[in-house]
Amino acid sequence: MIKQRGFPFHILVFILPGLLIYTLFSAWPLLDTLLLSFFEESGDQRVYSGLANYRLVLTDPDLSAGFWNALGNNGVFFLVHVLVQNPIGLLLAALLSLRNLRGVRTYRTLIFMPTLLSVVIIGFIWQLILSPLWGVSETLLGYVGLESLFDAWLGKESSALLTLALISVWQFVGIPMMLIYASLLAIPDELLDAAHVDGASPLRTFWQIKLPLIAPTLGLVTILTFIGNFNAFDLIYAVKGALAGPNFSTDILGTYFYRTFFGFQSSLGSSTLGATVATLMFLIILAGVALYFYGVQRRLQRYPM
Amino acid sequence: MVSLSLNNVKKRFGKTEVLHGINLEINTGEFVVFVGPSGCGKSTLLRLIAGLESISEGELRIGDGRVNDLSPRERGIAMVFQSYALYPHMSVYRNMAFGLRIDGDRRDEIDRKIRATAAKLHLEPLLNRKPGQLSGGQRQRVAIGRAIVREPRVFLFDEPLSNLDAALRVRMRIEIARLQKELRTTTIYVTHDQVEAMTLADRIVVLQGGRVEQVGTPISLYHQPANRFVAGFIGSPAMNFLPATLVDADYRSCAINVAGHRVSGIPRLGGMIGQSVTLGVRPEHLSLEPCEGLALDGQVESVERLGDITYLYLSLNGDTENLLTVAQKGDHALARGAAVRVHAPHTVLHLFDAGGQALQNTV
Amino acid sequence: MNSNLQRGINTSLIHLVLGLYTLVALFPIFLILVNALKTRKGIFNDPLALPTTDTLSFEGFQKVFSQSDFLLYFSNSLIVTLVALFFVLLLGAMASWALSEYRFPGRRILTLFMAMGIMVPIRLGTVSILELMVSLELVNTRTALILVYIAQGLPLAIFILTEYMAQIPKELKEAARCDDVSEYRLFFQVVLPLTRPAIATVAVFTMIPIWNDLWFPLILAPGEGTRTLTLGVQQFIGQYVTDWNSVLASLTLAVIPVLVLYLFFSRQLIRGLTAGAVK
Repeated sequence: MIKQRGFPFHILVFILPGLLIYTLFSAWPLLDTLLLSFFEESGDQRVYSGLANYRLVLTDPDLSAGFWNALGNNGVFFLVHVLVQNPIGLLLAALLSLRNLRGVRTYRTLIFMPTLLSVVIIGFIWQLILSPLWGVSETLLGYVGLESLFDAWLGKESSALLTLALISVWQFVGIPMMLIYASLLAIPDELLDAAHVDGASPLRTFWQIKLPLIAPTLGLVTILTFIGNFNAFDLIYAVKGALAGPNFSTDILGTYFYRTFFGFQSSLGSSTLGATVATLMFLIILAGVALYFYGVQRRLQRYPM
Repeated sequence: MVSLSLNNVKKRFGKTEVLHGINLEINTGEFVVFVGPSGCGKSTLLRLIAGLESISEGELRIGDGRVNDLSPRERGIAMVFQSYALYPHMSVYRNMAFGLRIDGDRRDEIDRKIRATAAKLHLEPLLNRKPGQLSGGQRQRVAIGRAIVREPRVFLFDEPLSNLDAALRVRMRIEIARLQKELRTTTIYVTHDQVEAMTLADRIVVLQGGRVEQVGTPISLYHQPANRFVAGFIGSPAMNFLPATLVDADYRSCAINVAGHRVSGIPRLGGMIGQSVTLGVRPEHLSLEPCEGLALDGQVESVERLGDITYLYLSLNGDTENLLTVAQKGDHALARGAAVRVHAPHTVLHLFDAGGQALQNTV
Repeated sequence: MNSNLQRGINTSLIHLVLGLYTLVALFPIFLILVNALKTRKGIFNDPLALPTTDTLSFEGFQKVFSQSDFLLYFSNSLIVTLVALFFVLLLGAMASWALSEYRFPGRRILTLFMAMGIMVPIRLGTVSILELMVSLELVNTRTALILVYIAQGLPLAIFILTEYMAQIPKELKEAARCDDVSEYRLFFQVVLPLTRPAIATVAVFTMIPIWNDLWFPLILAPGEGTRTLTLGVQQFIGQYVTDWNSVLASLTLAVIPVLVLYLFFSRQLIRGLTAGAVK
């Protein structure tokens, strides 16, 4: 006898609670924010204003400079991660995944440690270390005879952004390292044996065998870095405050969003303009993700191994 | 002419010794198969020869020189792996060219070698494909091609057929045998499948527990196993072993008591009267037809009729734990419980001492 | 040629590079921990020295505990993280089970809808989240943070758990169903225990960003009573920026719990990281 099943209530019971919270506090606010960007405040009312907010943020002579500056800085921030963080992560992963190396577990545990700490904490730690008041960095540079290079890097308009980006690199290098390390471990041993028998040196094996095989992971790491960077806020806020000084030289989209939404100093915040900035960030991230999925990931073939 | 020799070669992983002093000489052009149960050290030994593992002690020579410290390429070996280990991102052509380019061969030379090898293995239509687009058998042929194109002094095969289905395995086995005869390159082949070993090898090396149990031609291993392990490992179904006592012996023959029967005139010597021995007799040598020699009375416990051959499982003296296997040609409809008497001639009986060593024929 | 010597040199070089980078990764943390235990003089005279009997001091810690509600911040962080974590795991596992086990209309769209949350940062909806919390009168409550963090954690949890649950052998489920076990008991008594390894991985991934977050505490719960540790330390340091003893002590107090937890769970975490990426 097959029991006649009624409406499958159990499916609803399983799925509804999570779906409800996710929809209410993540999906809906996001959609609402997108919609809000087409409105403006008029007294107590919100009225539809079409693309006026976008015109304001993107082209207004007074307002748009901040956005473009933040976008440019964010681009630099991202570029530093791609060019410094991911290659270091790759190098560390390549070394860790070498066979018969002792102490791998200890190395990877310790190198990953900074990634776990709050960005706020990391920001303060480096602020102290780089502070000319304390002089730790100068002393350390002195050991290798480079104390003349030392400067108040975080305080200077020309170097503050780069310094912050490098601090972020220092903190997060563990993530690309781990992801790449895992994909290197997934390469079958016999394949590396075959390369060894074919006479390939470790360096050649790395460039011609390992690297092409982990290319999809490198793509993934890049897009994850992109999402993380264009959504970053904490580090700049902790070290430089909402004003992202000196003179907005470290302002990125996250801090710009925060200021537009909550206001700063004399200027008042605006929900609708904040929503507009958030929507623009959403579009940028979406563009990046789309480019990755349709442009990059397709070409980076994943090979069955 | 000796092509490859192992001189008291040992391998330790940390403190565990897995190969306990291997001595072996392999002649030029010879096809040698390492066979043994899993964990016997056959793959490790192959990897030592390949240069994928370091040798802890002893000497390995290929050609005239000691090669312990040489890289695989410098040793002049090429290897076919169990998983084929084709580079998944390279075409078949580039897979074969990879090693040659490292050797620094000229481009047209590489091309000529690859085309020649591809022709030999019928790989021409596949040259531009990636390994992911090939069937298991095709990948296997590419892996072999990649080894051949290097023109090595020694071919190494590590269980190359174990990932193929049964029909393909037979075809590839014949193909490998043909190629080896054609190329006359010294070949070492590791397998746990004794049929592969018997059909491919000029000589078989039986390994167990990191030691060489016996080296010899397939047929000599079958007829003159040096010990109980080899006797049980070679041949299918496995040889029957029965406890026996040596009761009489003279210059030419001896007599034993086994399962309540006295068998005399066994042309083997060695051992002392009264000594416990083990009698070994292969299932295919036991017959329902009477003949001079061994005779055993049993009761049929189980019958397997395959048409061309019938397997009988007999209990002796009511012992249903250790059944005697009999392979009888033809179809025999015997009922369970039937009493039968099986026979075997003197010449196919094997005697082993308590340590498992074969009692030597001193005549 | 001597390939053994060559190999030895290569290995030493690799250890040198890895060792140096490990030093770079640990040195800043070490510096903070060491100097937090020193007098102001000790901090400035020789920052790299370990505390001696002369320079040992707990001045900073005393200040932190007397001038700020450090223990309150800590317990706020703990409550918010653990409650959010519990619901992410429970609701996430339940939804994953429904999505991986039952065939029903709209399943694919629902899966895609949840997966979107992995790619799109929840922060971008902050404007509306704040307005929602205002209208629900939840601003400056831990509940607001907990709700947002559950919504933040669910997509990744569901993504990982769905994949994992799809691999549970059919026979196990069918055997249970043959015994007429209800779908709820099947989930809680068969599926959930089998999913434990994946749940542990998800737990680690969910916990860290919640514990470390600055954005939502700053916007949704900046009040004194609901401040989390990260926000509390941030504001405390802003207030006492020139008081190096206090700053170092508060940083140390923020770092220590995470380090202790990490030392206990590092193996689990790294296994999760590497296993998740292989797929």
